[in-house]
Amino acid sequence: MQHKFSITDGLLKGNAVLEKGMVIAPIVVCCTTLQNALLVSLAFALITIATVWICSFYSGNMSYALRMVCYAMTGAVVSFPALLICRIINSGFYDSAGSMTAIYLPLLSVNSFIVLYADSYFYKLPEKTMPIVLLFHVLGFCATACMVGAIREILSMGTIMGNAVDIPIVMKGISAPWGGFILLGLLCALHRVIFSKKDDDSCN
Amino acid sequence: MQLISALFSLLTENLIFTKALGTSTLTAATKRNSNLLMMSLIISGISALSCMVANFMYSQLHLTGMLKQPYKLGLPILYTAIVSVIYIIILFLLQKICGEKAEKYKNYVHLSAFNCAVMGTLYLAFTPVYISQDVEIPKAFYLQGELYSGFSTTGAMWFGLKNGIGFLLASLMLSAVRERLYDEEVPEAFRGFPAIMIYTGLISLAIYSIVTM
Repeated sequence: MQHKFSITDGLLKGNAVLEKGMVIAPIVVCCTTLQNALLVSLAFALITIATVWICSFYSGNMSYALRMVCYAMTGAVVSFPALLICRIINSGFYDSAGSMTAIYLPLLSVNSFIVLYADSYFYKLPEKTMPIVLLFHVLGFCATACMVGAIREILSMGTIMGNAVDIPIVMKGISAPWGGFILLGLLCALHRVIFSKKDDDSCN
Repeated sequence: MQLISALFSLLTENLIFTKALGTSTLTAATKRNSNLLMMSLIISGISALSCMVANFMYSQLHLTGMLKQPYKLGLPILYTAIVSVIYIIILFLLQKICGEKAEKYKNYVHLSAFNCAVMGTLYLAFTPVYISQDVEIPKAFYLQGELYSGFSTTGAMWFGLKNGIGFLLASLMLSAVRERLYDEEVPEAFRGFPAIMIYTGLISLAIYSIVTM
């Protein structure tokens, strides 16, 4: 049975990370604590929403290659003020976050939403619906990032936003990339189980 | 011995298993059943060329100031511009050399140019220095003390190639089990993407334990 399109799909059922496997690197490497995840979410939301919205004004008559270059360059230009805002909001944390702010946040300027999904999905939607669908997709990414960050912080340090949580054992290794990969794999499977059940229920 | 050490570093510094860079591209290519070897070769080529051009810009055009805060926020513009030029040149050459067959390869170039594997290699190659430090050219270059000192075209090319080959190695490891991960024997909830993530996580765990031993 064909799933009926809903503008809120990007938040849960059509989640970009759990369902489509997009923008994995920042989640696997950076989302080791809830604070990190919030910073990644903010940077992602600012860069993606602004870039996809600006690029929607570009002419569809351009060749695919030229469009890709324009999207990527727009993402790069937008990332400058976006990362500056992130830095102003929490400068102490931003400057001490090491490879996260040096590599992974700038890389968000060429994330899959901008260079692949915008052209193949967002710009094919009606003009009025597109911003809302985009917003829900971005919220879906932020929710996944925060969930992964919170779970890893609890499991690896026994804290949440720095506050101690009473758990019997901590697994420090889960904050390494392997922990991110495995946790993401398990969350994807859980997401599938939940939504395939819901689909079955609605069919019945 | 050097060969073993080089192979070992391909694993321990692998873009995908240790830094997760290019994972989305790899999983997307796996889903589409793309030619992973072809894609890895193109990524290696673009990474090596990008590092060489960036190296030229830093050493000859004296752009090292950009590696310092707050100017490093502008690095995405510089790196995207470099990759864009290389991307357009490759597409142009492909059209000139292959003619009608070019269409077949263009999709690989599109998928390989603007992704975390290529752009991440550039960010890794030229590590921005801390705000309190003055930018000194050798300190800004990642490879200093490892293979070559200071900025060097060969060093930059090797660094780009090394990361591309690392991507190739990860692709080979994934393509070896691709069919099994999509097999009907795998529980439906884990089939495909979740299984790829767990498989990648297990290899990453093995490398992590080797490195931390």
